[in-house]
Amino acid sequence: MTTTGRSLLAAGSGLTVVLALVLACADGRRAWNVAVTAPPAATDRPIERAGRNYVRSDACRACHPREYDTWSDTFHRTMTQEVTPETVLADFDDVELEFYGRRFVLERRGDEFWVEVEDITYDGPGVRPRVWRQIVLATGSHHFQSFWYPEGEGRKLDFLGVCWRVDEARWMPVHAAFLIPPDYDLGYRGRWNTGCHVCHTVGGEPRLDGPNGMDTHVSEFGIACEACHGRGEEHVLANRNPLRRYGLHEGNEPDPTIVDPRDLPADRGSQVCGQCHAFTNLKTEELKQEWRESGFTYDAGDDLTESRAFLFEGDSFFWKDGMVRLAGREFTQFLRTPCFVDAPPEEQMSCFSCHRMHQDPADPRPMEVWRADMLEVGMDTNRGCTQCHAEYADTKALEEHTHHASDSTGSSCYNCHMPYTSWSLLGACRSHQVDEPGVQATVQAGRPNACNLCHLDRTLAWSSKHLKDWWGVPRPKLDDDQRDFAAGVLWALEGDAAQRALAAWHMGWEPAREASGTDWMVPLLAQLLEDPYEAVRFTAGRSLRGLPGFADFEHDFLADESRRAAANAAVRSAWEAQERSGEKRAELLLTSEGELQRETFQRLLLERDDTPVILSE
Amino acid sequence: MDTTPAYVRRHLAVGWWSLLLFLSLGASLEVMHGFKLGFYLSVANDTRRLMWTLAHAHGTLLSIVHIAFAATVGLGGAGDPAWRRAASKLLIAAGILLPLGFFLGGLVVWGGDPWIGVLLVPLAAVLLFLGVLLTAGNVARS
Repeated sequence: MTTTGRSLLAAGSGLTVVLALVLACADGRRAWNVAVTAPPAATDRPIERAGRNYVRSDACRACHPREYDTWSDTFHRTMTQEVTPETVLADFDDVELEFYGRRFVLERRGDEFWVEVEDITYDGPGVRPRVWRQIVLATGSHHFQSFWYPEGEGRKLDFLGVCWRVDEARWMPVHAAFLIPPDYDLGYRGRWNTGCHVCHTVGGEPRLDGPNGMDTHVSEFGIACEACHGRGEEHVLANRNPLRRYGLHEGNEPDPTIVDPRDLPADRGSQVCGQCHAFTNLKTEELKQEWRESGFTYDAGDDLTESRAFLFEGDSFFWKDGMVRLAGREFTQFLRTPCFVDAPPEEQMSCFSCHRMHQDPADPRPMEVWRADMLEVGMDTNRGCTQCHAEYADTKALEEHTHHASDSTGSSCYNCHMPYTSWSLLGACRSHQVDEPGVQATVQAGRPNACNLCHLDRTLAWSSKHLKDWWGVPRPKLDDDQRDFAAGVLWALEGDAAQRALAAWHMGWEPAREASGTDWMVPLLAQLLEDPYEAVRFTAGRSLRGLPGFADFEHDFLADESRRAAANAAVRSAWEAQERSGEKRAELLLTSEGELQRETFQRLLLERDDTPVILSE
Repeated sequence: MDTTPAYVRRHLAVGWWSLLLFLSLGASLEVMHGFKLGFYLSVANDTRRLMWTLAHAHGTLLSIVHIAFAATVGLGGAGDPAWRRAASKLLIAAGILLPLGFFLGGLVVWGGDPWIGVLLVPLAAVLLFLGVLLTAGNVARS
């Protein structure tokens, strides 16, 4: 080989290394997100668009693989997904559905999902024409999955009026997913653009007033890294520098270029969750106008109160005493919790006192268990409270406090101080407003009290006596029915829809069944099979199937009125034919022979509170 | 009487023994695959997996480089003895430090970053580069 050839080869080798270094430096100065491009074909639906200092979760993965992995397991990630064969949980195999006069034909065409529906945009004379629309986005994957299709005007999406219940593997009208009257108009047109995307995506820009109609863009579908950690571009660019990264690894200081909600003060950290898990209103008209174009100004770590006002009353989302009764608004409940409001900063409770957004590597539970409520290990027990209220970690002190055996559900801090008084998606959820149990709230606000949610078979008078005897809680004035009949009976028969739903749900809740017995529940659950609200009927059927003798009971909670009445009658007949060993007390509407006191039953039913209840997202 | 230069024997020994070592490491990695050990395979340990795979791959390839170097010298193609000795030392150092750096880098991981033991890798890369450059130059001159 000649000297020139050797020199050229050596120079070429060196040049390769130098070139790699130059490329690395150049890439470090380049905005990370320019590599992200929107799907070119999507012009009729919202799209993901990079920019505005968002980098999207893919950019986080390289340096935070464990966090990315655990986030990938969450239902946060799948809150909004593009519709593909991989993301759709529902049956689209030539399905025909009809609910309340609305007919849906669902069809899969290769990798596409289509629906034939009435054209809800048509406001001309006569019957609305039917149109085929391609389903483009899906919301949710835990309890329900619901779907969206383009209206044809800009990027406006309309809500498909039916949704897929995951555990039942069946379609339901969306009215069943929420607790709303069957004739209630949820508002299907443009609902995704004007509301849902706000909390179900990252970096939503509603752009509601574009020249061609709604022109909504988001940074990322689903609730991803930057929803909780703030915009990531500065962090990504800064940490291209390995010296900086290793300095952070070796030190204990948080990285100032990114937000870790757990490093924030308890109130500011919890506000990160509260940006979605609360009822809020934008504070000024300017902010509202700005939102219509470019979305919220709030970023994780900011002071949420600068732009939002928290709401504690309005519509039927609240019990009359201001406690939220729609699940998913836990931060609003938190704001009325002494452990959060009154505690000194260093002892203040935060969302992260109990919840962990990334499963701990040492957590022995299967991922499916953790992700259901994203609690830290042990935080589904009294440890959640005894981490501060350490005195109740002692069994004797606990029993003295609760007057229940320490290993019973009556000694669960949560059951008394965070009972299931919120509702959403066909289930009751624990209130996150930690408070003292009391009958007063039931009498004045209609809010079921913790004592009677276990002791459904006891009267309010019974509970108030024990509350007075054990803790000195003043006894409220009760009317005759409240003195004479079990709280569970009253909630099931004369309560409003939320009380009836909670009564039906608690009749399927094991601690309540153990404390209250179950024989007496059957006529009430049978009656609730006829309830005007789908959610109540569904829940009553599910609880009923958990009772002895009714495991195989079949009924369709979406059946017409006559079939629902027949189901009620059939269950009651079966109950009357049963040998029942439970207590036969008048407060349970039972005669001493165990027969139903039909007259009183009917009277209470006629007194049912039919005030419309609307507990929807 | 054995007339083979000492460093030829040395490189043959280092080459074949290190080949055995890094093939064993490869087999160990396969075992971890077989038993699906999260310590090695979970997404959170992606970096460890990458580092140890690189340690295995580089170790194996450098073992073969040692054998190739010994063969080159044995065939009388390594030119000036002084440069030959220097190349030998550089290659042996690189053969130890490069896989060791990757292996240490995977012992502890910080998210997507390996432990600072990985700093041995660029150092070893420079030594390897120089060793190969010297060898290539001498082979061309001889």
